[in-house]
Amino acid sequence: MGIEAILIINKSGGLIYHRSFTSPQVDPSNPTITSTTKHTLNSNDLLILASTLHSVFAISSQITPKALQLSQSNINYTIPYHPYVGVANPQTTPKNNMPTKYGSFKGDDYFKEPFHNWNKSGLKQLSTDQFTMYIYQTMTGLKFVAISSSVLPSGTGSGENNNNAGANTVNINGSQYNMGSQIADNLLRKVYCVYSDYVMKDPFYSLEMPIKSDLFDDRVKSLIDHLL
Amino acid sequence: MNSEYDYLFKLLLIGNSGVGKSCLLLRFSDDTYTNDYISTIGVDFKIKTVELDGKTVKLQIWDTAGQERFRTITSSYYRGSHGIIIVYDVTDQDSFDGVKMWLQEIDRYATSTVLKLLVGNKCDLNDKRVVDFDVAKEFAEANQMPFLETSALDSTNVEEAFLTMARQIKESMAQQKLSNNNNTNNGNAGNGDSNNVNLSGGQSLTNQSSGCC
Repeated sequence: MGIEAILIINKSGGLIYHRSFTSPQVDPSNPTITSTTKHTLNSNDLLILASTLHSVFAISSQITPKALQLSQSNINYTIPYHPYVGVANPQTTPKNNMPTKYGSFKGDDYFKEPFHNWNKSGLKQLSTDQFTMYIYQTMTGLKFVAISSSVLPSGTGSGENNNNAGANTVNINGSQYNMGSQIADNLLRKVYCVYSDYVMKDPFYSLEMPIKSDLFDDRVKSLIDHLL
Repeated sequence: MNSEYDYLFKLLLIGNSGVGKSCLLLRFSDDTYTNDYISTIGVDFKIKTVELDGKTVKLQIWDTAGQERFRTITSSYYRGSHGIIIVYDVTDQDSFDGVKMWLQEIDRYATSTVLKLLVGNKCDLNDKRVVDFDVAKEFAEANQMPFLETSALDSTNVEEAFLTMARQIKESMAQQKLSNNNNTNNGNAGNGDSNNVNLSGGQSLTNQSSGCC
């Protein structure tokens, strides 16, 4: 799952972080289209994009049917833990090459338990033929957005997906089961962990304002690098 | 990357339908004017970059639709905004009466510390005026907010309206930081016997982060 960009939208709908991970290279199969053409958005366009997404998110919460809202107790909102998403696997990497620092997190991964999904009625995933956008919302209303170049997650979740003849969303025991979205949630939750460690603990950071932290940048980069 | 700007302020434009919110914004952001009436659908965004005390500030202005039928998701627009500009039309008594309703909306959805500004638009139409400057001024003072009369047509006071707001937000942010610092200093000096629990510092935190779902 190639991640093209990571965005963080604060709870008031302002874009506080954006990072694109594609390098401006000419596509050999189609030299007329360079990957830079996809990212000609300037910072103002990105702000508008983020706020529009925030609005659409709010609208989708509003149009969640009443029946679904009332029967919420029947729905399982737990997202399963996928091991080593975005970090080096200690079983496959030699011990000396392993990054050992996870901020305040001990062990060889940021977390190891399934976690709760706070995004109960809002937009979770947006798919087109070119990309898939995943949204992870925290309990406090912060949104982490990942834009992925692959439409279907590659090499993961093959078992479940094959059973349903390529359908991306599989229904198991009445709960939403979507491998790509789970991986994205796992990854974005790690970005949230990094955010908590390197942005929220920065004494010079003013709340709800654009993030300018080299350490945060590095950590996010290494998460994305390990994902590939 | 985000390094282009230091601050991002969220401003909200509200007011009855047809008072000229979008025109006011168009004048401020693009310095143009159109006489056509195009109803805003949901919300529209305009962004203007300004320099304040050597810092690059992006003002993101959320131009909301005045029409009643678009008012279902407004609460998510009020959330976390730094400043709210209430616009009425000086040639339309109804729109001025509506300001009370908009103030109630602000009380309901926005944070209590949000900066408010009352703007009477279309002040170039002096012969059609029905809302007196003094009446509006008095009303604004009673509700503790600054007041300006603007005209999107001849661009009177438009820049002032937005820049005053931006400067106020910047100041209130600096003040909040200062009070936070003072509190930490007090704690370090060890004279926190009177207030072991630091209320003022915590309050500014809740002000900024309240309104989450």
